Amino acid sequence: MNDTIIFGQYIHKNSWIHRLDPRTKLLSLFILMVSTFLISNVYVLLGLLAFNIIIVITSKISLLKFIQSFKMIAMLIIFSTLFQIIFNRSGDILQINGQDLNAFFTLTWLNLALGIAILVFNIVLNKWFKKFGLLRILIVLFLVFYLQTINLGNITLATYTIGLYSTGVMVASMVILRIINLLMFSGILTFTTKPTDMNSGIEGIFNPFKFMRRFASILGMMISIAIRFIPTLLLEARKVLKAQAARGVDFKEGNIKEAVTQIVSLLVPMFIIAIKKSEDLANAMDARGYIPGDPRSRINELHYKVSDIFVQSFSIIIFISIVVLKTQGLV
Amino acid sequence: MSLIEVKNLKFRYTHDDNAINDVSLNIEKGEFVCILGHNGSGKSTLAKLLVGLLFSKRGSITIDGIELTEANIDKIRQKVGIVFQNPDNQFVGITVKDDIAFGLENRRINKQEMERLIALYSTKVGMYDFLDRNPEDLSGGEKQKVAIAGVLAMDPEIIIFDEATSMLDPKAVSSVLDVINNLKNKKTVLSITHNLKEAIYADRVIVMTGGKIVLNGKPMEIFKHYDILKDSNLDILDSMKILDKVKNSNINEKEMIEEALWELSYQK
Amino acid sequence: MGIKLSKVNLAYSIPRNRKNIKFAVNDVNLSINTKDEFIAIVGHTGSGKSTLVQLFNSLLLPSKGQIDISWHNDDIEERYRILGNFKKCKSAHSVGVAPLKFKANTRLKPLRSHIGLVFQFPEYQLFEETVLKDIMFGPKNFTKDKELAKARALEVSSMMHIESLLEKSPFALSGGQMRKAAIAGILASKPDILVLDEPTVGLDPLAKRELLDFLTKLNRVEHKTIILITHDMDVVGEYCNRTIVMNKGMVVYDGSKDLMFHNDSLIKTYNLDYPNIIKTMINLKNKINKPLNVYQYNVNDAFNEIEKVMGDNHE
Repeated sequence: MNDTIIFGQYIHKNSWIHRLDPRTKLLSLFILMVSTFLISNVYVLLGLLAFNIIIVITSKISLLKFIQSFKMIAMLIIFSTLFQIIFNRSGDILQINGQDLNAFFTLTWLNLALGIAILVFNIVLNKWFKKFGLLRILIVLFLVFYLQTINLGNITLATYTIGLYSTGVMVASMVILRIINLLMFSGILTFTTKPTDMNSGIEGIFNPFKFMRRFASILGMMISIAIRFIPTLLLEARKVLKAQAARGVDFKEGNIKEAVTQIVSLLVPMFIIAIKKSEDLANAMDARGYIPGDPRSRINELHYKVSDIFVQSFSIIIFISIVVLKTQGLV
Repeated sequence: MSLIEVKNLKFRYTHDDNAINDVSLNIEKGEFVCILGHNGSGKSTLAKLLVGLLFSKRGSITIDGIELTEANIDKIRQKVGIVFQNPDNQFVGITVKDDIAFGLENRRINKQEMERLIALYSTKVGMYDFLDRNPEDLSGGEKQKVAIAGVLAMDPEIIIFDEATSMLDPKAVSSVLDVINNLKNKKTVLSITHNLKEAIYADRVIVMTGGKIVLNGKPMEIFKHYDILKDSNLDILDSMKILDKVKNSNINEKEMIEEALWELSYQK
Repeated sequence: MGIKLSKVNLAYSIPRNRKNIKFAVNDVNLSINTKDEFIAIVGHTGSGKSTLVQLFNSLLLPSKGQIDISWHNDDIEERYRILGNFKKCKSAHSVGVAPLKFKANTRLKPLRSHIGLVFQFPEYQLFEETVLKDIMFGPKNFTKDKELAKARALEVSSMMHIESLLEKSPFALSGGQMRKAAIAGILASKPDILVLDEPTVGLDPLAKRELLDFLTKLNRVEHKTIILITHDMDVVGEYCNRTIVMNKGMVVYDGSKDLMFHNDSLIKTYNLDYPNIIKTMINLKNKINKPLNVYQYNVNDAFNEIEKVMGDNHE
């Protein structure tokens, strides 16, 4: 019934990963993420990706969800790739059929102007035609560079070459694979762990450290309250938005000054609502005997199972192997 | 010695007001007391003083022989529980189960015992099937019942309901009132409200206006003071308003009508 | 002239396959006059009352059906027609509000000033430094004329007797005063139709009566149409003449409140209640065994009926 945010992106399924202790998931995935950074071999990264895909399949979560999260950082991926390809000139030039993969670009006033025009056109088009945003950006980039291969106009601003060098391509692939692997690890964590369990997990990890216990307990309570109240506050925000819209608030119109007042008309009530809730909540917690930082029992206790020990050991072994292999220069 | 003894209590929020202006009252164990008053009468302030959310240096509050001070508030809190007006703002847990558990966790009760108490009290208020639900999916009345279960689970002798039904729709009000009235003779109950109809169930009614107690007695006695009730800005029953008109009229058989209206006024 | 809903539907959310759609507002046909009506909308929590009224001022747009809104502005008649559209509508639970620019060149903003909507606990919409500035906020958004907005704000303030509060911060007011200020903020845009969602919740008896008498004045003297969403049957009985009953998104009754309270099976089927006055009169009638007409809607009428039936003791 609600199309508001599924908080924390948790998707409820019954897989072995869902059943793991959150502490195990937090620690193992963290160790694996660190390992990913240590790997410099593209083929190993590819293997890691295959490993991740297998895990996702066993988690019963659709791969499509992960692909959606890739879309969000698509710009980052494209930028890093381009950056590497254009500026990394070490290694050998790649060849196809004996031909160097090289391109000469000439930047003139004319194709600079045309390039800007295409960019602006895309931005304007975006207002009315929002679909295929990613595809359009790729087309724009392609056109902008293609125009510079043709010698248009007579006043040359600059000439440069871009070549596909082996190292450039290698590094670009590594960057992409690292990002994708990291995203998959974090996705596995957030899609299979309830926010409350995540919270208990964080607290549980800090618990053995006595000096951190008070802090961890308070932090845990804060996160728990945030999780509890975010959906509620979203509902309130929606109500305030509607009430002000009934008074003529319209974000599509208005100059800067009006826009500021309109945003204030949403922020001030939200502040007041949040403060009122906090005050009432604090009174209720006080009256029920809560003392921040003091030891409390837990209704949601965490227990390690055999599968947890297995997974935890596995991730530690992987980490150590990678460190060792790295010192041998093999990874 | 009464269970709750309030002696010459005075309290002000700022220098200009007199939120509680010399209040003295006694409440015996097992009594079901209704405190009537409207916004600004001091009733909510009194509730907060009784659970130690506010402290006053003038006058005294003694609960079960223990004087209420900042130092021994923990002991007091074991004896008094409170349910507030806003169903949403007192809901601490992420689920119903977590919320009922909250007070028990603070007392460091072990998990097995917590499970037992949660099952027991959620059933008593009719929310056993809702244990895994989130507050956003609950109605106001359901949230209030969860709050009541949470307080009952801590087993205090005294429970204060501070306008616990004011924000609910009529169906929810009667549903929650059923739970509250069920506590009669099982707990000592202080029900703070501005609705005269709820006062009928009480053993005793205290009316507050402007920080003072203006009436203190059995419901039937209190209802006779129509003018004081009207001046206190309370929701007076229609039967009482008609009764007042009949009293000042020359209708035939008016005593019979008056008596009939009287009986209707304190009919449950 | 006024608001006309023809077979209007609004979906809770739109599932991908367009089957099994649950509707918050279900096949509603309704006609509301732009003047003189005093309507109560009642029904169980979740029956769609609040959602329905948001269709009146285009905060929400329908998934199916048609909404026609028209009124006179001096000599000009303004007309709007909104057609239901699954793509362009905002489902009942979505964040945000329906876009004001519905078709190219058709702006729905005047609808929001012509039909004033006061939400429950309207005090939460107050935000400006002074009450005057806050009341001016609405008219400023609609007319873009600061002087005109100020004039309107002053006019409304004097009508509601809150002139003394104008220079204060809205947050320094009592609860009842804040509510008045919030309602003034909507009235300042001079709507012909005023919709209020549970306007008396949380008010003490005095403030409640004051507000309802004020709404009655708006209705009788200024000929505004007043629509109240309420659970309070006493209010329905004493102030409203037409009642719309909603159940699970559908309108199940639309007619005189008197006829509704005479219809026991309707009251029972939809879990409604009678005003306390009627219940008291029924109980009294049974107790004293006299032929009282129990359908009275305020204390004075009830007393007069008793006096009529019992007769007077003229001395």
